[in-house]
Amino acid sequence: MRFISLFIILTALLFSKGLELDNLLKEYESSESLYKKTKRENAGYLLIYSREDLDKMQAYTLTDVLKTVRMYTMQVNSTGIMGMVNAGAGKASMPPIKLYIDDFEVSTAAQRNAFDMYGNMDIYFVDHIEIYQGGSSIEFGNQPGSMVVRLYSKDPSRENSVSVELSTSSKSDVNLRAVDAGLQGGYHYLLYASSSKTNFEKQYLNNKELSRDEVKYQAHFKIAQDDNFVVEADGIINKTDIYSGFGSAPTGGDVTRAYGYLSAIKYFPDNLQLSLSVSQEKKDISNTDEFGIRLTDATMSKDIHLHVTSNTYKTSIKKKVINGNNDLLIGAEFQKKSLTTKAYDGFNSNVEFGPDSIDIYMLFLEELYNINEDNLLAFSAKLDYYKDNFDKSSTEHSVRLGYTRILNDAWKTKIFATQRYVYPNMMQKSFAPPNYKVNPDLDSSYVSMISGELEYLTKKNRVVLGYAYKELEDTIALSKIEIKHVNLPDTVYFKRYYARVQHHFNIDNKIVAEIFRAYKKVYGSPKSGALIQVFNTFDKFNLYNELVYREGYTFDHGMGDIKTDCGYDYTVALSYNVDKRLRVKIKGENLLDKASKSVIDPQGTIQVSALEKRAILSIEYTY
Amino acid sequence: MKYLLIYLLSALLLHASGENHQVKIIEKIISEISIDKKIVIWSDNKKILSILENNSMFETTQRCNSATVIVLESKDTLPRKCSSKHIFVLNYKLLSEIPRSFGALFWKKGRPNIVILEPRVESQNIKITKDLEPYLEERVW
Repeated sequence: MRFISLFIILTALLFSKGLELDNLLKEYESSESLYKKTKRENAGYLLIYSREDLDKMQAYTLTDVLKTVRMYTMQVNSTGIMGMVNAGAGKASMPPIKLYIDDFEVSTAAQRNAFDMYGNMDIYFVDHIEIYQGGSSIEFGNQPGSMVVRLYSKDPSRENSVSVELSTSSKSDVNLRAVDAGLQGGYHYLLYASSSKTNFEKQYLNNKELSRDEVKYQAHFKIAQDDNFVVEADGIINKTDIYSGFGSAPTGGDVTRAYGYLSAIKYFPDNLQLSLSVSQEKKDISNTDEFGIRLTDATMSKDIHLHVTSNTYKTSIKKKVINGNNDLLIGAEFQKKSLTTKAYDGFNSNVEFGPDSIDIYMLFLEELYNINEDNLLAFSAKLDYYKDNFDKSSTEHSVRLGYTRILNDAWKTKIFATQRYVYPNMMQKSFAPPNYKVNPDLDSSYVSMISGELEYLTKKNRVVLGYAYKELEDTIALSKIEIKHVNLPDTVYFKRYYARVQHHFNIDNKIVAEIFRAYKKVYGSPKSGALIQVFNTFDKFNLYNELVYREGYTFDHGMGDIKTDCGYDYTVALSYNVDKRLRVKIKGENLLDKASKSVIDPQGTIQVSALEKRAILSIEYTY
Repeated sequence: MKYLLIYLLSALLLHASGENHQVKIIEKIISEISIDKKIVIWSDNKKILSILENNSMFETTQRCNSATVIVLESKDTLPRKCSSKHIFVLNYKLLSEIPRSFGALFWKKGRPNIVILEPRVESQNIKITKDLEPYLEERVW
């Protein structure tokens, strides 16, 4: 018996010793996680998707991440394009969400926001994602946004490899992606390319097949030298079938969106940096319809074709001064956006266009001041001057006051008071799809917000309680009477609450649970939701379970109230590391086929989930 | 210390923390090998050498010539007179470039990895414990 006990003890010791190096490697990896170096706690209420999280989630596209973000729901519109809708807002809304790929802000002139273009992008070259809610920091660049999504590409010095992944799915999708990253002659480089074909379930309306199948190509290139410069280039082309389009009996058409940018940052001594970037985008929509598309002049068109391109040029200079308890950031930025209408065919009367060029001059500062070891004040101010080629100009400002207090070793609180504006975008002011007109006289809307977060953090647990109260003045909304975007005279009030709990069982296993609820006068999308994520690792297996809940909502598409059911999006992902080079993955998305639905037609007969039920099989090989 | 400046200095602190973890792994690996002579470590990375020195688990030296085990970050900083010692490298490419290197701790695909080359360990008469066996490989890829 004693021998058996001794054997068990020795075996246990041997086993634990064998794991010791593996555990040390995991601790080293965790301590060196890139997000720990890039996150800015004082820049808002932060959600982090680490590389390990994304890996276990098998997050192939940005949508796989965005659909889990509190206060937002992924929806699909009648032209088959997926977008994020803020809790309580209608899907026609254009939430000012900002997207960064590394330090480049994807700004758009021809889309509702950057997510129309990049929302469903492949994220194989992305290391981690940070999402800031609650009014973003000035440090995050020019125009203020209600939420900032920051993607950080993989660090070449930690890659030193070529990885290729091939995926296919139960809907006969094919997706091929590859990343080559490493060091060469003192330079860090990253090369990435992907190609995908995604199929969706066909719907039928007026005996016409509705398809939103899409093909997508993306390439990304980065070259950098430590403390010297970074140059990045990216190109994406996305072609989607027109779905129901702007009419009700589509006979053909598609939406092509393309975006490309070149961005360069030069770092100088004493925390000075200069940025230059140029981007170009294209939006091409063709839509034929048997019954015709109703135009804003009340006539019908059976065939429309819109083609717009835009260029954006940006340059900025930033300087950080760190002096004792002060950390001051000052900077200036200039942006020029221009829009060219190459085709606007199929209309029966002249279409009105707004300004096709706008210049923006910006000055900003952000001060972080440590009152003492437990109290931090943050103050940001920004002054922006807009001038368009219709000679309309405006001066806008944003201010933000933040206070962070450490209550004790476990408890911490953050409070932000923000006054900011939302400048109308060019799809509201300058050019419009056939179903509404432009409004060149549209003014900014104004947002005042006070928000707070209480955090309890220990080695294994994190509990966060959040609250926000928002007032919106001169809100921009689509008027069904004037058939254009207008500034609403009423003040809109908005409240939201959320709670998030995270428990780490150990370095490999954790659970996340979250609930939120928004209170707003008008509801056009889920106003409450919940999330459960369970991340597990067993030997060579990674397992991920996810449930995204969204409350049902009532939506008026012009034909009376339409009710949708509550959404339960259950996803499970399992991967197996065959050896150091080969990995096999299988993932089931929206397995219950009950994810939150978007209403496509005015009668509400077609209700679809942005992400459909799908099984994905992938093989990844690393050289 | 609860300084809120930790937000601003977190990158520096994390860097230091990462180095400590790296050194812990190096120490663990070296503690799992045995060679003919007493282990005395030299490294071209002065921070690693300094942490090793303070941890006092192994004897360290400021002179490469006096060392029996070398922890090497860059090929350029390896003195020719030390090229015949037992060399553990911190970059996978160095395994190909330095024939005497017997193992490596390196980053690949976003993760730290360990490789111990079995033929080189045998040819240099280095004995390893069972803990290092999972990291044995036959050749440099």
